[in-house]
Amino acid sequence: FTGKTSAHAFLKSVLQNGVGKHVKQLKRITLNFSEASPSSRHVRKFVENDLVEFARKHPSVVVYAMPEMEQRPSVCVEYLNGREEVASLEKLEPDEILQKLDTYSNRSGVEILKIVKDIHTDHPSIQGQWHLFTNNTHNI
Amino acid sequence: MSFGRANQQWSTFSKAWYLLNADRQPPGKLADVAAKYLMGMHKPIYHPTSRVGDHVVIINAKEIAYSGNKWEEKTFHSHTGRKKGRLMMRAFEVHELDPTWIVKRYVYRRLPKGSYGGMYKRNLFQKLHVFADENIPEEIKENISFVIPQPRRVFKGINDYTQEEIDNFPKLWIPSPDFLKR
Amino acid sequence: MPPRWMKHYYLALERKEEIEGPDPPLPRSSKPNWNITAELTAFKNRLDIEVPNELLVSALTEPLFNEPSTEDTGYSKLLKDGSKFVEEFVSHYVKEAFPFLTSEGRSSICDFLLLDSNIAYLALNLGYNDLLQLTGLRSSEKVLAESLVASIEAINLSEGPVAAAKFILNFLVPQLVGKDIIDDIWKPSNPMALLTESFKISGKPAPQARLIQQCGVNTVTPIYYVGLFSGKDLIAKSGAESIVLAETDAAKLALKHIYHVHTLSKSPPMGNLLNQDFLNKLFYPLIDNKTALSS
Repeated sequence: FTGKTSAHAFLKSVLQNGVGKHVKQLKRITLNFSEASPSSRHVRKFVENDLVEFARKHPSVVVYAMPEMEQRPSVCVEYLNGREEVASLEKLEPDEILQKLDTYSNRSGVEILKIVKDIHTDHPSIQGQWHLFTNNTHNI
Repeated sequence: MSFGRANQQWSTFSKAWYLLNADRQPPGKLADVAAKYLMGMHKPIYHPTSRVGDHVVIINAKEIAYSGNKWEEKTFHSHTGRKKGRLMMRAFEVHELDPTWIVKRYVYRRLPKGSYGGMYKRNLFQKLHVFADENIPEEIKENISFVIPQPRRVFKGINDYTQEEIDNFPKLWIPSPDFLKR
Repeated sequence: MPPRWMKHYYLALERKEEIEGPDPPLPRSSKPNWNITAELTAFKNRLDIEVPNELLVSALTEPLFNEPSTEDTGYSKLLKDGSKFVEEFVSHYVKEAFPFLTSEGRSSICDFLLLDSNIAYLALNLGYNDLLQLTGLRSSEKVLAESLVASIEAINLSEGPVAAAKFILNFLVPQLVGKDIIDDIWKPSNPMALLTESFKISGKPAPQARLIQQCGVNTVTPIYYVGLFSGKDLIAKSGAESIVLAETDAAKLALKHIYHVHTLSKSPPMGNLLNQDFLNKLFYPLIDNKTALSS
């Protein structure tokens, strides 16, 4: 009645993922950073030391490093369902950046919303759902 | 055993029609039961935010029974809001005017109150059908399919026995013919 | 916020979009961060397939159908062979997985799995749309579905039919999860006739619907509770807003039990439920050297 509703959704996976073969939903990571600016120094360090290992660990993800002058460090991730997310990498140490990328690579790509309960059962009862004539002994 | 999904939903949430016989029943207990069924509290799917109440048809409302001397002592009040606008009637007077009024009043007072009640209370009350005797419209009679057991056990009165049953009843002693006259 | 003197320019742009519609989306390959070799490698790693790049690209490149003079890169042949292979394997799978179903029901499941919209949805969520080279002449849904089928044929050519069949088992078949075979997919128009026919075959008396209970018949929400009897045996019960609907629903319920597609019956083999015996049975017609299997 008040019209105050926040965005919410049921918890679900993309395309029955995992019933057959499990497919990692992250398809592309683009690291945008500056070549010289001090705000990108951690990202540059990450690209030098850890990025190759990360890419080797995730063969199904394409990783792009896009240096450009006077650019703030950010990461753009694209998922198989067509969504993409952009996040800032400012003031993040290399290990924190790695942690962030790991989080992105483990996600399904569905937008993070408040999850409402999807109450259901995979094993419905043998006797069936209750209805008007179940166990109703007071018949005419 | 489960139905198709649409039909399962229909069978679960349809409104049932219940019959309640008010013959020799105290109106308070009668209203307790009727209000429970009107709100749907007898169902396993009951939830205060879902409207799952049923219809209740009360017959023989003129046969309700008060205990003690309540027909004489119990009073119903009303006030018009103006000076000298007070109206007070004893129970038997009200019952003579409208034999369904007392049952209706008792049920209405047992429905949810306050801000939660409101329109919900009036909607629920529309599902109550009270009749003074056993003659009810054919339309409503066809809808009914369940019976609510009476809240108080009805004992057989002396007038309910046939003459044959009275004659066959075992007697400890045979009174003299002038015993009753004395 | 744009400057005030630019107002008319932006309004004109809006008006242009209203008349002409929005611009078609640019292909992903037009962006600077795009490396086709890396993309193809990641694509193959993602789906666990090993196909030469040229073959995969030809399966993902739509030729100009309106101009037959242009060189066809093998797409039409891949598509033709692929659709034949997919059709055959899916119908074989459905026959093995639903042994109790009639041929009519099986063909309806096959039709559902091979629907263009269904396969296109699958292809879209497996990342085909980025690698696809479109002419823009036909609807992208149809081309997406075709390219997935062509890529299955590409797997068949490079890795063999078993790998292609596994691809179908991994991605196409799980589309059945959460679907009711009779209510969602088959939707038989006269289930009572089907039930009568199957009873005639098994030699039971014909099913008969009898009204068990009814409530609120004079209201706008009546309910009729109907039982289906075969002789003196109660087969199924159902309640609905009219006697005919309840009878149809009860017949559907009885059919679900007869065909073993009820929610309580054993689910069709897919994913972890695939055992080796079933796989052997499934891949038997695909393997040329059939003696290798028995040894």
